[in-house]
Amino acid sequence: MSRYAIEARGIIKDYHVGGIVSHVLRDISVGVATGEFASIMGPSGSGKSTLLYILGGLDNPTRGSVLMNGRDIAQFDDTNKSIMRRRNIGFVFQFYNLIPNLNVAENILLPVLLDGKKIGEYKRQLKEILEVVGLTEKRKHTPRELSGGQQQRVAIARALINNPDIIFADEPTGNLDSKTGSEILALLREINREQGKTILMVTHSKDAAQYGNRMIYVRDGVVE
Amino acid sequence: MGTANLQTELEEALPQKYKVNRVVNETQVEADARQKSMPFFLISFFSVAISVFIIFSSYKVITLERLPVIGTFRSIGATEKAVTNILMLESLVYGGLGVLLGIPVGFAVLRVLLNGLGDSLSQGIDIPMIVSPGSVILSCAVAVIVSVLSAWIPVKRASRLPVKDVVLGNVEEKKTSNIKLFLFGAILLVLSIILPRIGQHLGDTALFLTGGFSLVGLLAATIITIPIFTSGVSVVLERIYGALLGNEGKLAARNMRGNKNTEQNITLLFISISSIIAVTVVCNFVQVYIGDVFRGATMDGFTDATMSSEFVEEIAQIDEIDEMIAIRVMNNMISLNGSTLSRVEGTEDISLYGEMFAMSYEKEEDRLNIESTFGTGRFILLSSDCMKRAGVQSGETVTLASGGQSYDYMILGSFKIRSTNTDALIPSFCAVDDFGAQKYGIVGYTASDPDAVMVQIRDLFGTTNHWSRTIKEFTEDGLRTVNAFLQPMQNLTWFILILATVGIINNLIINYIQKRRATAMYKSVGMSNWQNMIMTLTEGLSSGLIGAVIAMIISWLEIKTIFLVAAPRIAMQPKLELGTFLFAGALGVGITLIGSIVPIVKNRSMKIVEELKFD
Repeated sequence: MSRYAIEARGIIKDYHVGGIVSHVLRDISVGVATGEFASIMGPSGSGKSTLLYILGGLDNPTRGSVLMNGRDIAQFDDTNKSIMRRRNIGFVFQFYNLIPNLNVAENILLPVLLDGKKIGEYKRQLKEILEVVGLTEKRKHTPRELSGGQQQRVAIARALINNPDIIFADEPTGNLDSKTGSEILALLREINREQGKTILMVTHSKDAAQYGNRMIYVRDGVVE
Repeated sequence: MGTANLQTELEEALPQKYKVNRVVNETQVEADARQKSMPFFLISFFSVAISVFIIFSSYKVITLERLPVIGTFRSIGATEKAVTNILMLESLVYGGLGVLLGIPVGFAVLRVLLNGLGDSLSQGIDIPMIVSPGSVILSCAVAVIVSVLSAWIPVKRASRLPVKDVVLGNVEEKKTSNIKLFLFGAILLVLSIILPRIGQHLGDTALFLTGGFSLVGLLAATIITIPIFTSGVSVVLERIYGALLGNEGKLAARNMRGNKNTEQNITLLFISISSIIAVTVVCNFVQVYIGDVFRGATMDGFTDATMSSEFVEEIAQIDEIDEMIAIRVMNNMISLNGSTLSRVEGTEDISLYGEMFAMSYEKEEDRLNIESTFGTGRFILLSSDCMKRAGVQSGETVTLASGGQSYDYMILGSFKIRSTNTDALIPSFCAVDDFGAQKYGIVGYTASDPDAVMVQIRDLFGTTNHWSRTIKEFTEDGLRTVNAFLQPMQNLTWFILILATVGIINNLIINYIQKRRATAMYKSVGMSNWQNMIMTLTEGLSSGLIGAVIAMIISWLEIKTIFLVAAPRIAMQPKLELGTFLFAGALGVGITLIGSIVPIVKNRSMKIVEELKFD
C-alpha cells in the first residue's frame, strides 16, 4: 500500500501549437501523502495548474503515470475516470464553476446525483456540510445570488459531499478579496485538520501556501 | 390594349346583333386572387417572424461575446451612443449584404419555380416572370428594416451596461418578474383569441385589424410565456424522468428550468413548427378550395348542354340515377338594378340544389325560411360577392330586367358556392315565365355508379354538343391544372422548412457554444460521456416535445384566426388533419434530436481544462 494519496511518476506534458512543441511538464515525479495539505507554487506558465489537472484526472499526461490507490488513473477510460471524479476526488476551481441554474443544495449534490445515488440518503451529509461552510440559510439560492466567497464555499461543499480521498484546489482564492480569501483558506485548513482530507492546492501566493503543511515548487515544468 | 378599348373595338367589328360584355370584372379577379395569394402572405409573415427571431437571438450572442471589446471601447471614452451606432451600423451592413445576396438568389429561385411551372402545365401557358421595381425596393427595405430592428434591443442593452461591469465581466441579465411577464403574456393571449371573434361582428375593417393583431399577438404572447411554461413543465418532467431514467433524466429536466438556451430553442422550434403547420394547412386548403370545388357536394356527375324538357325526362329514366336536378341557365341575359349578371340559374328545388352543389347560406339561421319561401314567388338569392357588388341587402326588392321586360324580385338571402360561378338563383318557373328560359342548361345527378350513368348520358347525346363529366373526372381535371399552378406555393413551403431548419440548427450551435462551459463543469464533477449523451438527448427530446406541443396549439389558434378573417370571402372552412400537426411536430423533434448529435460527439473529446480555466 502506497503512503501517497496520489502520486505522479515521470509525468511529461507537451502541447503542440502551430507545429511548435511546448514542453510544459518535464518528467515530474511527486507524491502527496494521505492527510497532507500540500501547496503547488510557481510563477505563471510554470506548469503548476497543468500538473494539478493531470493529477486530478481532468487532463492526460503525454507520458507517465498517475497513481491513486495503486491504480494508474491516466489509463482509465472515460467511465472509470468519471466515477473516480465523483467518488474519490473533489475539485475547487478559481472561478467556482457552479451550474448557474441549479441552487446551492443541487450544486453541492451534483456528484451524488451523477453517481446514481438517492438524494434522500444524503440529507444528513448535506446539512452537516452546509453548516461547515456556513451556508445553511442559502441552500435554496442560485449562484448568482451569492457573493464570490459564498460561491467558493459552495464549490468546497460540492467537493466534500462524496467524502473523497483528496481535494484539488486550483487558485481557490484567486478571484476573491484578501479577507474572503483568508476565510476560504482557513476553511480548507480546517477540513484538512478536522476531517483528515488530503488537499493539493495550486497558488501563486506565498501567504496562501502557508496554510498548508508542505510546499511543492514548480519552475519551467520541473519540481525544484 | 386596355379592356375598354378592346370592348369598343369588338363592338365595332362585330355585326349589330352582338353585344360585347365583360364576363369578369377587376373586382372579381382581385377577390379571386386574394384567396389564392393567402398562402404567399402567410409564407412571408412566418419568414419574417423566423428571421426576426434568428437575428434577435444571434445578436444577443454577438453582443455577449463582444462585451470585452465593448468594455475596451467604453473604457477609452466611447459613449453609449457611439457603441450603439457602431453595432447598429454593423446590423445595417448585414441587412445590406442580405439584400445583395438575397435579391439575385430570389430572382434565380423564382425563375426556376416558374420554369418548372411552365413545364408542368399541359396547356402550354407561358407565365412571365414579373418583378416590379416596387417589389424589389420593398424586399430591400424589409431586409434592412428586419435586420436593424431585430438587432436594436440586444444592441441597446449591451451599450447601456455600466462600463465597470463590462470591463470586469460582471454582466448579468436583468430578471423581469415572472408573475408580471406571465400575466402580460396571458392577457395578450386571451386578447389575441377573443378580439377577432368580436371583430367579426364589427365589419370587415375591424375583422381584418383584429385578425392581424391576433396573428402577431399569438406569437408574441407565446414567446413571452414560454420561459414560465417550460419551467412549469420541467418540474413535472423532473419527476417523470427521475422515475424512468434515474438521476440523469432528473438532471436533464432540472437543467431546463430557468435555462435561457433551452427557452430560446423551444421558442424558435415553436415558431418554425407553427409556421410549417399554418402554411401547409393553408396551402392544402387553397388547393382543395380552387381545385376540388365539389367537395362536400352530393352530386356524382353532371352534363352541361342545352336540353329540352323531353331530353331531361329521358335522362331521368336512367335506372341507376338516385336523385336528379335540372337547372335553367341564363348567361349575361339578365341585369340587376341596371348591371348585367354573368350567370343566373333557375331551380325547382333549392334544398336539393344546395345539397348537390354544396351551397351554404351566409346566414345559416335563415335556411328554413329560405327553403320554404323560395319556390313560392318572385324571390331571388344572390351570391355574397354579387350582393356586395350590387350594394343590396336581404329583404330588399330589386329589379331584374331582360329584353326590355323588368320584374321585381325580393332578395331572400345570400349564398356562398364554389362549384359554379352563379350570381343569382331564382325559381325555375320564374326563369321560364319572366325570362323565357325554356331549355335546361345543366343536369346533375347522384348515383351509386356514376360512370355507368355517364355512359348512358353520353349515349343519349349521340353527336350533339355536350360537356358531361362525373365529379371524379371533373375533380381530377381541376386538380391537375390547379396543382401545376400551385406548384410554386408548395415549393415555398419547403423554403419555410429550410429556413426553420437553419434557424433551429443555428440555435443548437449557439446553444452548444454557450453550454460548453456548463458541460465541462458537469464533467469535472464526474459526468461521463454516456451520461452526457443521455442528458443531452433527454433535454433535446423534451425541448422538441414542448416546442411541438406549443406549436400545435398556437398554430391551431392561428389557423382559426386566419379562416375567421377569411370567412366572409370563402365558402368552406378547412379540414384540419391531425396528421399535418403531428408530422410537423415530429419533424421539429427529429431536427432537434439530430442537432443534439453534434454536441454529443464534440463533447466526447472536450478538453475540460480549456473550457474551465477562464471565466
